[in-house]
Formats: sequence, C-alpha cells, structure tokens
Amino acid sequence: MIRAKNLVKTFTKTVQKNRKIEFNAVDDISFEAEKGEIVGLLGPNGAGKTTLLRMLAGLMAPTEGEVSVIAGDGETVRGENLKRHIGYLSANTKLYGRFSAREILKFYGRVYGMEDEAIDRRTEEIINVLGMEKFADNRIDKLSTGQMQRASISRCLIHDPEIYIFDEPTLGLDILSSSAIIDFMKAEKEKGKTVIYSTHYMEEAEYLCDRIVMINEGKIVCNDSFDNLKKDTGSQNLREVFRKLIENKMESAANE
Amino acid sequence: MNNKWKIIKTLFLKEVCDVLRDKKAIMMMVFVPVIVYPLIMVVSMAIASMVDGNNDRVYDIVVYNESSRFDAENLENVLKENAVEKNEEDGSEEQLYSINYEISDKKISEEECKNKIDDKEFDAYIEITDIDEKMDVKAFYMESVNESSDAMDKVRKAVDSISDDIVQKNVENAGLDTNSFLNPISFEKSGLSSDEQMAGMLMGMILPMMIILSILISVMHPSIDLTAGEKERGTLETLLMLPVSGKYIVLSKTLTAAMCGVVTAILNILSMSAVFIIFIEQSKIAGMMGGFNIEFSSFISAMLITFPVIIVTALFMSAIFMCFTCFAKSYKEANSYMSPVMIVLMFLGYGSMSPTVELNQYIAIVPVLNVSVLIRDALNFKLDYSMFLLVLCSMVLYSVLAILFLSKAYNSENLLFGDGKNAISLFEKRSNIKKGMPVTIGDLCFIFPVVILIYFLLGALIQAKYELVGMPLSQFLILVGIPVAFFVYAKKDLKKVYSFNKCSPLSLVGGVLTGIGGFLIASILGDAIMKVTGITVNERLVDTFMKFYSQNVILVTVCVALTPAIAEEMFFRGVLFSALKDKLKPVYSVLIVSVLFGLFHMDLIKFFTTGALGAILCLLTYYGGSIFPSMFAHFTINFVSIILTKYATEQMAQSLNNPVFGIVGVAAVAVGLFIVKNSNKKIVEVVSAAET
Repeated sequence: MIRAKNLVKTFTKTVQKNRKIEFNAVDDISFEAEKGEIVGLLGPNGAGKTTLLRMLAGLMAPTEGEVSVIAGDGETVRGENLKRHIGYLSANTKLYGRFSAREILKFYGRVYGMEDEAIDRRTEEIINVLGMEKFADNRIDKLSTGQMQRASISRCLIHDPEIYIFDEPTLGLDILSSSAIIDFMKAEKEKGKTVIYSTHYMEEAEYLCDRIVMINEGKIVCNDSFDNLKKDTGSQNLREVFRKLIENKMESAANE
Repeated sequence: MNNKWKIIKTLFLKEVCDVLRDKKAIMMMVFVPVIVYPLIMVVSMAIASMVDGNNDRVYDIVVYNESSRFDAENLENVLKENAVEKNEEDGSEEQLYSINYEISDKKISEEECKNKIDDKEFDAYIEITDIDEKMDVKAFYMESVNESSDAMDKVRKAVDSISDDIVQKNVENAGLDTNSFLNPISFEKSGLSSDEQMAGMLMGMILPMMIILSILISVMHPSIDLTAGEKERGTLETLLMLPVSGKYIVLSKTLTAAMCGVVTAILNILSMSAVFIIFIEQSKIAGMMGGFNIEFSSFISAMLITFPVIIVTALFMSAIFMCFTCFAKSYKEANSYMSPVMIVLMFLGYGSMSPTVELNQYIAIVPVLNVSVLIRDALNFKLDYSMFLLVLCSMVLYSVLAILFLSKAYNSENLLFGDGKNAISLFEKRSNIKKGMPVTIGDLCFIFPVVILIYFLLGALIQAKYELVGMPLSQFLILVGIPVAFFVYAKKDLKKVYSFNKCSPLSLVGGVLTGIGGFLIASILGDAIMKVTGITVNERLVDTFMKFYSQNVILVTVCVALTPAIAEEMFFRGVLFSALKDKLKPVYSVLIVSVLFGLFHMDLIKFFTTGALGAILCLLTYYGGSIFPSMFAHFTINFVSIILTKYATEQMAQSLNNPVFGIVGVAAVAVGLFIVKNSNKKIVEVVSAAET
C-alpha cells in the first residue's frame, strides 16, 4: 500500500522583468492506494500529475508532506528506500539504446542487489509475461515503439516491486501494444500489486481502474470509484465525468 | 566486496559498455590516436624530407657588375661549387641544388627587381660596385619569398668565401702566418648532453602537449554524452529511479570518461613512440642520423612517471567537463559550454613549450599547466619527486572537489527536471529570447571567460600603450562594454542585471565606512602573509602603480580609483554576483565571486587581499540590494591607497599594520554593513508600500 499525506510541491517561476513568483504545483494532496488496487490519476495538462507521481516514486522531494509505503512485511518505508518498493515508468523514462532488454534487466537487477541466478530467473519470467521472446536480445534502438515500451515496463518489474507507478504508459502505442500493457496490469492487480496509473485516455481508465483520483491545479477534485462518480455527476461515462468536474470548474474559474 | 563498491562497479561497467558501443567515442579514443596522429606525423616527416631532399631546385641569380676588381665569374664558380656536396670518404658527389647564373649589362631598379622576383623571373639580384678601396656587393631579394631568401643566403655564403680568400692572399703577400693571423683564438664547442637528453628535450616540448590534447579530445565526448546526452535521450530519469546515491552515479560517470582519456593517451604515446622509433631505426639504416644513437630504455622511468599523471589528468578533466555539461539540456548546448573550457585547458597545456615556465610550488598547483611541465621535466631527466607528489595531490584534490560539486548537482531537482533555463542567450534566435529574463549560468559561463580573455590580451595592450589613460579605456571598453552589448542583444533588463537599485544616502555612507575598514583589513592581511611566507608583491606590478601614482592626483583618482570602482563593480558584483546570488546559496556566490576577483588581480598576495575585499563588497551588494554602496566602498579603498602612497611617509604607512587597526577595520566593516542593511530595509518597505 502507498500513502501520500498532505503533499505539497512548491516551485519558483520567473515571470517577465526578472520577477519571481512561487506556486504550488501540488497543493496538499492526500490519498492512499491499497494492495491489489488500480488507482487512476487523471487531470488536464499542467494539473500537477507528473510532479505528484515523481514525488510518489521518490524522484522528487516534497516541499511539505510525506510519502510512505507499507511493505508486504508490514514495515513502513519512507525517503530514499521507497525506490526499492516501486516500479516507476513515465513518458520521460527511456532505455539505453545501445543495450538489449536482457542486458538492461541484468544491470538493473545487479544494482538492486540481486544475485545473477535470481536475475536470470526473473528475466525469463518477465520476457515470457510481456511476450518479449523475439526481441529481448535486440538493441533497444532497433525496436518498434510498442516493443520499446514493453522493454521499459520490463525494467520496472525486475526487482518485483509491490507498487507500480505508470505515467501515460500507452501514449503513442497502437491498440495491440496498449492492450498487452493493460492486460498485464490487470494480471498484476490480481497478484495483489498496487498500481497508480495516469492517463489521458478515459476509456482505458474506465476499463482498468478501481478508483479515480482527479486533480486540477495541484488539488484533488475527486477521489472515488467510477460507479460513484457516475452517480454523483449524473454522467454516462468517465469522459463526461471529467468534463463536468474539470472543464466546468475551469470555465467557472475563468468567468470569475 | 562491499555493497557500495559493488554498485559503483556495476554502474561503471554499464557506462563503459555504453561508451564502447558508441562509434563516435571509439573514433576519438582509438582511431584518432592510433591512425590519425601517426599518419599526420608520417606525412609531415615525408613532406619535410621531400623538401630537404629536393635537388631539382634551381636558383636564378642575376648579377650586375660595375666593379673593375670583382671577378663575377669567380662568384659563379663558387656558387656552383657550393651546390655540390662531396663525400670525403668515397669521393662521390651529390648535387644539392642548381644555380642559374646570369650577368646582366643593365642596372635594375629596386621596383623592377621586386616585380621580377614576384613574377619568378629570378630569385635574387646582385649589384657590385667599387666604393673607394672596397668592393661593395648589394643583394636584392624578398624576405617574404622562400626561394628568394634561400638564394640570398647562398650568395652571402659565396661572397664570404671569396672575401676570406682575398684576405688570406693579402696576409700571405704581407709575409704573415695566415693561421695565427686569421685565427688568433681557436674555438671548439663540445656538447656534453647525451643523445637521450637531446631527444628528451625535444620530446619534452611536444609530448606533454600531445598527451594533454589527446586526453582533452577523448574525454570531451563521453563527458557530454554521459551527462547532457543522457538527459537528451531521456535515460537520466530511468537511471535516477535506481535506489543509489547521486554520488555513485557521478563517480561511475567520471571514471568512465577518465578511462577513455587514459586509454587514448596511452595509445597515443605508444603509436607516436612506434613511429618515432621506426623513423630513427630507418634513418640509422640509411646512415642519416650522423651518429645520433638513442637508447630508448632510458625513457622507461619517465614513461612510468607519466602514467599516474595521465590518470589524474584524465580524472580532473572528466570531472571539470561534467561540472559544465551537467547544466546543459542537450549535446549541442553542452558543446557550446565546452568551447571556453577547452580554450583555457589547451592554453594551460602549452606550458611545456615555454622554457621559462619552471615547476615550482606555485606552478605545481595550477591544474594542467603543472602536468604539462612535470612530463617535460620527466623526459628531460630533471624530475623533482616532491613536485611530482604535489602535482598528483593537487590534481586529485581538484578532481575530488569537482566530483563533490557534481554530486550536489545530481541531487538538484532543478538541474534534472529544470526547463533548460541555463542556455546561453547568444546562441538563441533573438526573436525567441523573452525580454527581461534573468542571466543564466550558461550566460555567465560564456561571458566571463570571453571578457577575461579579451581583458588580459587586448586590455593589457591598451594599458601598455596608453599607460594611465589606458586603464579607464580598457576597463570601460571590455569589462563594461562587452557585457552590456551582450545583455542588450539578449534583451536583459540592465537595471536588474547590474543591481542598479535605489539606495539611501546613508547606505552610501555605510559603503564608504566599509571601504575604510576593508582597506585596513586588506593592508594588515597582506603584510601578515608577506611576513609569514616571505613572498612579496610582484615588483613589476608595484612599479607600474608607482609610475601611475606619481602623476596628477585628480587624473590618478579618476583612472585608478573611480574607474575600477565602476567597471570592476559592474562586472564582478553586477554581472557575476547578482546572477549567482539568485541561483546559489549566498555563501557560495560570495565565495565564487571573491575567488575570481582575487585571481583577476594576478598576484599571489593580492589574491588574498583583493579576495577578502571582494567578499566584503559582495556582502555590501547583498545587504544593500544595490550595487552603489559597493561602488562607493571600492572607490574609498582605491582612493585611500592612492593618498597614502602619494603623501604618507614610510613610517605612517608601516604604522597601519598595527593589529589595532585590524580590529578597527573589522569594526568599521561590521558597522558599515549594518548601516547598509538597515537603510536597505527601509527602502524595501517604502518601495513595497508604493507598489501596494
């Protein structure tokens, strides 16, 4: 389980005439993602999703608040050690073009402190699960976009983390490749893994997520199951929920 | 193996593997030192031997003989005899070049002669006349034309030889002993240097520069690729997801780039040595070396000493390069950061070429220059092992400092996830530059070395030519003019760049008080350092200033007190400090600017005194929120110095070194800073109230 408690991230922005202003990209966000749950993180561009995910993954230190992971053995983990329990993938996390997926998995496994035998075993498992047999030994820069994304996901799995944080993993992929990734996440959820999933594709979130957390301007707008959100907003689908909660709010803010 | 080292080893092996799969890196690391450099050497040697061995060359010499006594035909014979080399052992002859000799019956004017040499009608024109009892030979040639110069040399040699013959005949006719009369003192030189020492001297001039150059070139690509390149490819965030400290990542990257430098330098030495040995052996077989016999094994110890020096140099360069390239967002941007760094390091690497630069405790701590001179000394069999250790220690220390800085940088979110606000504005399309944006680190990295380089080259020239007036001329033109032009192009807000902010008259008084205190502190500090170390201020510097101070007091005040108070403050406290204080902690900004200000004064004692003053002036700008108090303080320091030098007695000046004045100085600085800080607070309150 992963818990975000009163997370705040403040940045300084330079505007014209050298004037500096401070703003909260993430503003007092608290939520939890349970074991065996897929939480969808949605919001418009610039809402603070990537900053929030980076803080959850331990890549960025929060200005205020705290991220903690309750590991399988019940131990609460904070700070630098978070990374050992998390597999993080974003649109910005690319792989080394001059290596093959198998070599990358070996390198990551070794840094995570795994023995070579365990790495080899785990690598075969991952290659099998993600259907990478045909290209696992090819250089990354020779792979197609879909193959590359599967190789990226494999990198997150090598240390068998309890929590996956995926930031738009299906961006730019064809239907077949994105289906493979979605199916994989469903399967991982069944194994009791926690998944935080950020996307702009509402249909994907609707199909995949147990709970939806929507954020706008760094603040949580809603945090509930898809069914409850539909009921509360009187909407037919998630796209409509999104428009009602975010778009209408943005319009009314603009009118004010 | 310790877990920490296991992780570093894994990261290092991954980086090495990544670099070795990069064709560009292999090109720089192996292809260039093993193939390109030796090829250049072989081709240049071949060209040189072709030029030397070119016996088809014909020199056209035209002679106009007006003299009744000079035998022009004899000159032709001597010229032609000199063109043939006789082997005394087997009596064989070799034609070195040919002479085309023509006696003209018409005098040629200088202008006509010049045109004919230009048109290659002949190479030299000789005019022979009688002046009283002497024969006068005038050779007209063009110094800028090689063939013409060579032809003149040959004529000179022939005329000297004829002249010697005439003298010898005259002496003989007078019945004197020619040998004792013409050569009353015999001179014979006997060189004591061994062939190895001669070869060492030659290699010592070229090899250090070649080694440094090869390390520079081979380290540059991986340094950029592993930092800015990694950011550009998007793999940095992937790497940072690993549960390892930024220190390990930085260390593995630095070691990888350093390894490339070491491999290249060693390959370079081996390939160049191979070419050199083959050349020497071929020459021996061909009997061309004239008994020049080198025992190559005598250079083994020099090479062994060179090896650890290469390692620390490569480590230093990779760490320094990465300190710059880690700020860049792309390979292209990193390349632009590297240009000034490369120029400075290459300049230091040329140290071995200058025989006046000797390895002492000061040179031993100047990075790269120390290595260059150390390798030269090792090849010259003159190595001082204490200097060797000092060079190694200083280079390791600089590398460690750079790695620590890099580790900090790799923990900085702004650096890793920032939006490229470090780019150099000059390389941006002007229409894309947003008006009034702050000065970036990239801007500083570009403008600082450019201005300093121009100041020490062109500024020194202006000051040497115009003396006292050259000071304001060079300072306003270079320290103020160039940055202002740059910032206008980059659409910066000059008021913000230079901290030209409002300040109260009281804060200016605070500035003056701080200046007086600063002067007292600097004076005692300088005296104490001189007493402890026994080092004195550079005499040439003192002489120059004494010469300046002897002139009209108003002129001296304007040129030596007012000018630096404006120009140096605008550059150091304005451009540098005002930009740095927004990006770094105040203590680091003050430290960096004071060190640079100290170095700017180019003297060891002045480095400490002006460094301390630089720190005080930075604090004034920081607390005052404006550059004007520090300008007033700077003017006060210089003005007090002028007045004391001009009017105070030696005894009065000496009495200022009493520690009591030191305490007074510290108190004055403290009170001055307090006044400036408080009066600035009021200004800020008034401005905020007005804005509200």
